[in-house]
Amino acid sequence: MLFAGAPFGALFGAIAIEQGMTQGQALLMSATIYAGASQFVAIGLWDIPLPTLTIILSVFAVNFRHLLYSASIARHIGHFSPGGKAVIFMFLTDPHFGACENRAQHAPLTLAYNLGLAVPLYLVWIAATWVGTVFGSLVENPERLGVDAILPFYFLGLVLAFRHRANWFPVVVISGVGALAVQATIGEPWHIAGGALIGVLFAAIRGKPPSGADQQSRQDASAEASHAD
Amino acid sequence: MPTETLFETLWRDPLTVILLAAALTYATRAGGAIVLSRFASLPRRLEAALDAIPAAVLTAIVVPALAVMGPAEWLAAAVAVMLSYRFSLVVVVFAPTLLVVLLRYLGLG
Repeated sequence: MLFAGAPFGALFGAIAIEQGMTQGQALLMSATIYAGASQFVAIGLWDIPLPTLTIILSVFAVNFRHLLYSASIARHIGHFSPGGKAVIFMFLTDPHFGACENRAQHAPLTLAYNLGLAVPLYLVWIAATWVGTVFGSLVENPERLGVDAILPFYFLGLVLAFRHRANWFPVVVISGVGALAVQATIGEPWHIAGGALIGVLFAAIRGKPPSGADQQSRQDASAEASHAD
Repeated sequence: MPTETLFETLWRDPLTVILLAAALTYATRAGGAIVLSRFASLPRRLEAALDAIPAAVLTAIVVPALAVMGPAEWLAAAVAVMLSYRFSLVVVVFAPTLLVVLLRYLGLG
């Protein structure tokens, strides 16, 4: 999965140059924002003079979902030092979060596991951006290789890996329908956070089943997940 | 340039835009955990809500993404669901991807 994001990084680099960014600015963006979808939104708005407020608010809207990731992952990294947590938050991307939550179902999350995941993903993202800025025209038509489908299937696979969690089925249905509804009414990019919040709210209202049943489901999940990553 | 104030110049500088966007992004990644650290022990409903986050957010990303794709991707997604009952994550991801590549190659995607 390490290289699944690479085509998008290269595409970002290529479009950034096309939009009039310098190579240094594109690389700085990948290195500091490090959140693919929001970077595409930012360069889409990249016209001189730069609409600063519009760009940063749009980036914030696209990245709003990380607040939920952060809250969820906090329960698994409570034993990290403040410095360790601060570093890990920098790398809390969609695939990083998904892999960590999946891992946490059957093993404690260590700093070593987090860094082993974060550092290669980060370096691949920056290297891919660089490749895109240099060889922009070569990464046209990535659809033929199916690269646009890998990440959706990866996230779908992770959703399915969580199926033993309490309230999983209704949460998935409500979040999916909710995301489509928010997309159709309020519009992008709020459909991700909006759809997710509706599903999460349902789980909160429903509350948790008896702890015995939950323990059992966690054991099932660990048996299944042990060969999943 | 003489009519622009120094603030205006700095405010529209690419470096400013990139670093402000990066700072806001980092705030979203640290913010959830910081809010959560206010709780000594987690209320039952909050715990249930946090448990639901991974599936909820990833579903909200995937469903609209698949919705704008076509029958080839929908078929592959159904295959992914079936495979997930038996096989590891790697198979669940790459078998449907290969199926999509094949269907597109055959002009069905």
